[in-house]
Amino acid sequence: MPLTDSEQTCIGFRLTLQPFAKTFEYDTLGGKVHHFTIRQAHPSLLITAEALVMTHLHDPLRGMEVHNKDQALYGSSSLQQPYYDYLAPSERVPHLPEVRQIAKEARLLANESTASFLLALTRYLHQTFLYMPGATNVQTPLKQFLEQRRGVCQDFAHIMLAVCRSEGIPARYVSGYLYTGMVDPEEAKLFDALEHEWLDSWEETPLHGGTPHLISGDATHAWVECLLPNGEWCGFDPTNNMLTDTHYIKVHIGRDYSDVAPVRGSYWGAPSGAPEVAVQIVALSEGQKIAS
Amino acid sequence: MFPLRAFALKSTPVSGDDAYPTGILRGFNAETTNLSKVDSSMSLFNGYETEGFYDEMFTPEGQPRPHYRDLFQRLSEMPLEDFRLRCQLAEHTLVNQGITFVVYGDEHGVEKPWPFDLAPRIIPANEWEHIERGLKQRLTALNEFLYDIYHEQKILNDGVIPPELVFGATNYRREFRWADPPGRIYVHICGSDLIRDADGTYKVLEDNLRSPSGVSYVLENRSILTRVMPTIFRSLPVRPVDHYTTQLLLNLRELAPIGIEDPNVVLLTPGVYNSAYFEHAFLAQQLGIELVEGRDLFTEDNVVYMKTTRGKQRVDVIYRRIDDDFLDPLVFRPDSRLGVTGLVNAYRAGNVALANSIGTGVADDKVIYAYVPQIIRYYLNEEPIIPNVETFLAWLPDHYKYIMENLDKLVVKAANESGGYGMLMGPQSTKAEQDEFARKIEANPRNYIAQPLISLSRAPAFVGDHFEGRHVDLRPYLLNGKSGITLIPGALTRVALRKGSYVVNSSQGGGSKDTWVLAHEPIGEMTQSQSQGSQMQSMSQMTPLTPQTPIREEAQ
Repeated sequence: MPLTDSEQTCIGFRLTLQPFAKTFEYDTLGGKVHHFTIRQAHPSLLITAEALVMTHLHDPLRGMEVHNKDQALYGSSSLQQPYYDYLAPSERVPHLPEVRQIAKEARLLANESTASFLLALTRYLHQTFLYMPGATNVQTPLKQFLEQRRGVCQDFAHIMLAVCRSEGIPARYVSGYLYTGMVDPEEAKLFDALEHEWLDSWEETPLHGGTPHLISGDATHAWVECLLPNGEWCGFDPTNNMLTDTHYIKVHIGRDYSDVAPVRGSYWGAPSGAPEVAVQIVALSEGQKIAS
Repeated sequence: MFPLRAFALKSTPVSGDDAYPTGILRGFNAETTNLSKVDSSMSLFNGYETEGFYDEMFTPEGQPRPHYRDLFQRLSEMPLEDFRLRCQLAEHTLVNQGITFVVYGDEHGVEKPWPFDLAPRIIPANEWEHIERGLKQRLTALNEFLYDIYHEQKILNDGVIPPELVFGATNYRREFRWADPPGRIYVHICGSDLIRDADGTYKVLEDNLRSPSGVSYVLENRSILTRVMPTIFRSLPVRPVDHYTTQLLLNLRELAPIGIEDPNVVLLTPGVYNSAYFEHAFLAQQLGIELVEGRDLFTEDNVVYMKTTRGKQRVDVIYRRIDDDFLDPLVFRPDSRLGVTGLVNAYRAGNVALANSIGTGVADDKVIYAYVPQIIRYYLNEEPIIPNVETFLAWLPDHYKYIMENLDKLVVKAANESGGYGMLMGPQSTKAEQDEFARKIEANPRNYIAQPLISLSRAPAFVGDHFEGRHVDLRPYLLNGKSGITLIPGALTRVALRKGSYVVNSSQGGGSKDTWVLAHEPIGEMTQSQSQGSQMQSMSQMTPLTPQTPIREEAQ
């Protein structure tokens, strides 16, 4: 379920299961978790999560200091307690001495401000590593990505976390969706065929006010947020060399992928391949998008 | 102070000669009748030496301590054959009852009979009173600590413990911050390891707050000893231990979710390959609850059920003997097949209770251990009654340097290992072992601590055909419930049966002794003993203390 914070508001959320099961939920520091059990035999399981999210316009630079030296904060013990989880090595982001070199090279491209370093790092990772779907899977260790230099958004996010943490900058993993704004006519037709009367029930968001505008990625997206000296968490997307904006929809925040895997579970039965995942995002109007 | 005083003798399960049901056992009643025939030169204590260690039974001058006088007298009067027969009887009982344990990685078969030393360890009432106050204080403080670090984290905010030590502990469960266990109790069952140093001072060596094992041996040792040494047992005011399971069951039932009148309590075991499986089976039987493995349970709509021949049955309380890591593949290790998928969600929702709670391991981390005295002062505003063993943390730069320079003198331990694994005994190690540990410590300083080698106290253990001093420790068991903390007046005394060894873990060649906690000082016995005059000889009078006494190998 998408988060509600200063950058976005989750107006509605619906989780449907086929076959039907009662769902339960609990809150964690990084977002909500829903869970269910189905004990009856079932040949397939369809989990549909639909959400209506409003992302808020904001200045991507949000008062960032981009000129002057402001590193003093990092490495001080005052950050240790509140941000320990985002500074220490984690399961998927172990301590790797190799990332020091990346930090060094990114420093050469930046001035002495933290924001400038993070922007340079984002650009450096984007240029140095190749985005290649299928090059890695969720089990691939970060070290292997470092060596083969190709991978997916999850690897880009993990490597950026490793560099930031080695530099003493608290950094966290964000799992979510990215609205790329491109229209695929085939997918648009598919969406029209879907039932979406439930969306109409939100009075504030007239669905048919404009032409739905659809894009699809083949899975979820991942990026990072870093703590700036002004106390703000700011999103960086090294896969796309972007600062996060209204196109980014946050679902869950954690130390790394392990904390925020979109779906986790176990089943009895014959092994079957990886579950199929489809993500569809529809922009309802300026600044409003639906992820489903 | 000791309400059990009068009760102690009456409640002993064996009452003298009548207790022997078979002919073969009757032969052992020579315990008292043979008194006059004893030739002191044949005493089982021939050649016994304290060798400068604190001896539980003898003073440095070789005199039996007052609370041991009666036992010493009877044992030293006992003919060797008689004692051996008793040992055999004890051994047969152990084998017949299947009282065993498992050593991991042993190629000679897995399950071994529990090595048991017949000479009991005796703790006088005043010492036990000290232990009781000290351990209750410690558990109270540790439980407060767990509540705090899973809630406001005041102790971290106040700078008493460096936050990174808590957050970096392998067993800190950040997911359970703000979760409220029933009655604010995190640790329901605790087993603390105590040792005595060269002066006889009791010290805490480690706390076991996850799933301490060994209590079944306390109960079994007692039941065996009362059978094979009934007269000696009856002659002393030994406090009973058999109410342990009653109290445990009472506490477990109290944990049940509100509104459940007759809760279903189960014991969750990892299965027959676990080193403590005997204990799991024994306790389940004694408690009268089901012994289950993860595959016997399932969750449905956030409730845990047990599969039975009559369909599903709801489970309300789980006495789990599985570490957090293996409890639920959804939350912890996804490759674990030992736990129950969804169990943690049901726990989080309050539909099932766990004993011990999730996340207690952070408080028995060996690095946090070093801070327990501060923890006691912080929460209770009291001085620790039982001190810690001096501990160096590789995590602190100056301690790190000291440890690295003194690897040949120190005992180095990994922060989260137990059972004597992952440990370097400096003085007895080779250079290669020290180098290996130096590398490990360098790679992960947070994970290592070091302590000076303590000359553990010794107690007489039967070796072949006589007694020799062997190092012992003491593990008392505490139960924490709504009615408060109960310390069972008895404990597991583990003994390092290998000569000179300091490692008492049963996985590393240790055995055990029954531990007799006395209800009051043995004044009556002292007078009686003294009246027998010549029978009361000191050890040194009986036998010359010769260092050349040949060392006999223990029986296999």
